[in-house]
Amino acid sequence: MRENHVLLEIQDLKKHFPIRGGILSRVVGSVKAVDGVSFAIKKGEVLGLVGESGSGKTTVGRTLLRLIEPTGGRILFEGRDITDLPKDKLRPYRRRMQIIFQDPFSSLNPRMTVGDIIAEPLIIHGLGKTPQERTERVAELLKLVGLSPDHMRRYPHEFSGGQRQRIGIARALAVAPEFIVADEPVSALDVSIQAQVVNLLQDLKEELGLTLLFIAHDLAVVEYISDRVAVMYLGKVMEIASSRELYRNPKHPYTEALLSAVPIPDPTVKRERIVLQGDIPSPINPPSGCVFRTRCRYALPECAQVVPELKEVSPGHYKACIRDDIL
Amino acid sequence: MPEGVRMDEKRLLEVRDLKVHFFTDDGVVKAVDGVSFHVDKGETLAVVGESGSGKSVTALSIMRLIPTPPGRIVGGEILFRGKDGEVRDLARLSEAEMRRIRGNDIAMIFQEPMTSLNPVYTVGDQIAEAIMLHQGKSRKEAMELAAHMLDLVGIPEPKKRLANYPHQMSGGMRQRVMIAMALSCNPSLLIADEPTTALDVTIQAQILELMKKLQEEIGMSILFITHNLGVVAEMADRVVVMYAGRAVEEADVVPLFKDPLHPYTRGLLHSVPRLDLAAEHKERLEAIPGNVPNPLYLPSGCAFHPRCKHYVEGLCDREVPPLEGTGDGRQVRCVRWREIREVRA
Ligand SMILES: Nc1ncnc2c1ncn2[C@@H]1O[C@H](COP(=O)(O)OP(=O)(O)OP(=O)(O)O)[C@@H](O)[C@H]1O
Ligand SMILES: Nc1ncnc2c1ncn2[C@@H]1O[C@H](COP(=O)(O)OP(=O)(O)OP(=O)(O)O)[C@@H](O)[C@H]1O
Ligand code: SF4
Ligand code: SF4
Ligand SMILES: [Mg+2]
Ligand SMILES: [Mg+2]
Repeated sequence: MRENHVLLEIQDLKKHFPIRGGILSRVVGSVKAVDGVSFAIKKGEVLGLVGESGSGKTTVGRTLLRLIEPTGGRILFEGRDITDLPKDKLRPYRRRMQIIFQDPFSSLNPRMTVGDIIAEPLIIHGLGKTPQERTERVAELLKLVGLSPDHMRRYPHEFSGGQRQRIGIARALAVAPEFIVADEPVSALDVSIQAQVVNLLQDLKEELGLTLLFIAHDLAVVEYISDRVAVMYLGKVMEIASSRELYRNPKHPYTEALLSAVPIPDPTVKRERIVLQGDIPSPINPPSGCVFRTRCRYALPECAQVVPELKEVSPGHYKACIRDDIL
Repeated sequence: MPEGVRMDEKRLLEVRDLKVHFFTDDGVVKAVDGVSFHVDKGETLAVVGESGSGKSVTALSIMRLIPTPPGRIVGGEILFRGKDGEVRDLARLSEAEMRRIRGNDIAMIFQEPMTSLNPVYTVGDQIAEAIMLHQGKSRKEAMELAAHMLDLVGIPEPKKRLANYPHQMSGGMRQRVMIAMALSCNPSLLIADEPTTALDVTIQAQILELMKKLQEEIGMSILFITHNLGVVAEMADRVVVMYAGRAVEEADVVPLFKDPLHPYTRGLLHSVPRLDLAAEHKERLEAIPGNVPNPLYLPSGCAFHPRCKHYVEGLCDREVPPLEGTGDGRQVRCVRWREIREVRA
């Protein structure tokens, strides 16, 4: 395996959802859910993707898996452009890229046994030819995620939230994917159970050499699991850096504010907090220039004129902000 | 109502051995099963615990909003000192008496403001309605006060905003409206049930700052319910930790975080990832093994015993441990708390 081998890359990815209106339901505008996002994930790396609700995280995850079609930009898997691959050609890639969903309650079919849920992707991709082979694989997967092979014959409602999330992880791992999008995999879980699932994902990453895009709005969870982190705001990436750099030495005003907003579980820690004013603007009509400028305490008149490019400020550390004299 | 209910002068609320059960087709859910705590004048008490531990049921019992059937307050007292100075047991008040307390003496805000704001009325009408009902003001006066309240909670152009419907506002803005409405009648107790859980962190920060500022100005007490330990650390003077329908630990906020006594509290504190620890100090998260118990089949004795690393067979699984005073103003519900504390010291 080559060092620094890029497994997945997106270039200027865009997803605009049309808004229809009027009696003829003509397109009257668009939601710029993802508006020119670029990043690369190396093999065996975990890239965290954070940002507030509606910033476009889920849309990035789904678009790069081609579960929804991009409006623009390119998606490369192992250097191969898969943006326009037709369905039949996409199939082998579908096996190699899987997704884990946020909601462990609605993402599992309540009428299927746990065994059938986990075996389903094996059947779809023609892996595990005989029922016996599949049963063996399911048993192995259940053990891998910390459940017992006896659980195979039970139904999802018989499991707790954390256990269901383990089932969802086993299903994603069934076809031995190399790349997984984990979309808020612990957000719906209780605090004490979150840690179990975070630890499990970390172990699996080590054991199986998985590459992950870990989407979450909880910055502390993301820091634990990620090698690098990208911060999104209104469909754009504001900053990308190694997790250590980003949390210790944020360079973008939005990252700075986001970090300072997280309450610290220690009553003796007193911090100067930056309270962002107002709400996130609508992605239908984002501000001109820098999309963060309406809430940025460092904004200058120029910030309304140009869209800041994501540029490298120190090795491996990128920010999209025109001001170099701050932070 | 028993004559001469007594409560310490500083106390605003005192819940004693509260039991609230739900009688469902599947069996009896003992949602709250012997919870005691108090809230002093001007202080913030946080109630923390995981999903299903009984936090909301506790709050709804104080407001006497438990859906009956299937739920019922089956035991305990909820002593509350009204604005008139009189101490009443809310668990035994008639609905008519309770209506005078709700909104007037005690107000409540919920996790999802949309469920408590009426979508077909403007926010101005809704706040004014509450003011007219409790303070007998004219409509014009009530509208003026409503605008003043919106201003107080930091909503720009408050007069214009009075004409907005809830759906025309963002989540953070709606939560501000809820706070404005709750505070419009100067309650002495504000119950906030996960008021920021549905909000983004930057909006959460705005709401928490606002609540702290308003508490300083108005001086009300707050019963703050949350599962977020960061929010607890930021807001609380004192903390009650709940597990499976019971309070398992109570302490002032600083000692609770510094020296948690109950194994569950310790487990919770270790299982949350923390932003403030330098990267090199970060080890693996210490997860609490197992699952939150099914309320219909609670483990015998200490309900935490199947997940506890200090569990001793025959000792922990026989009887429910009592909530014990520790001598330094704290309380803990664990038969082994002394040994566990000594081993650590
Ligand atoms: N199918 C769709 N049609 C129209 N708009 C959409 C669609 N899906 C998403 N959007 C919009 O795109 C924007 C980005 O949504 P997305 O779900 O990607 O955000 P997110 O960062 O994942 O947020 P959250 O943290 O709430 O999950 C939002 O404004 C959303 O309303
Ligand atoms: N109307 C009801 N009927 C039956 N059981 C109920 C009802 N309301 C609550 N319960 C049960 O009471 C228990 C405590 O619920 P409660 O809502 O107080 O939990 P909570 O601590 O507020 O949890 P969360 O963090 O999820 O809000 C749960 O087991 C719940 O299922
Ligand atoms: S470009 Fe201007 S508005 Fe945008 S983050 Fe930088 S300083 Fe703030
Ligand atoms: S009583 Fe026993 S099982 Fe319960 S918390 Fe204490 S040591 Fe653990
Ligand atoms: Mg999402
Ligand atoms: Mg609740």
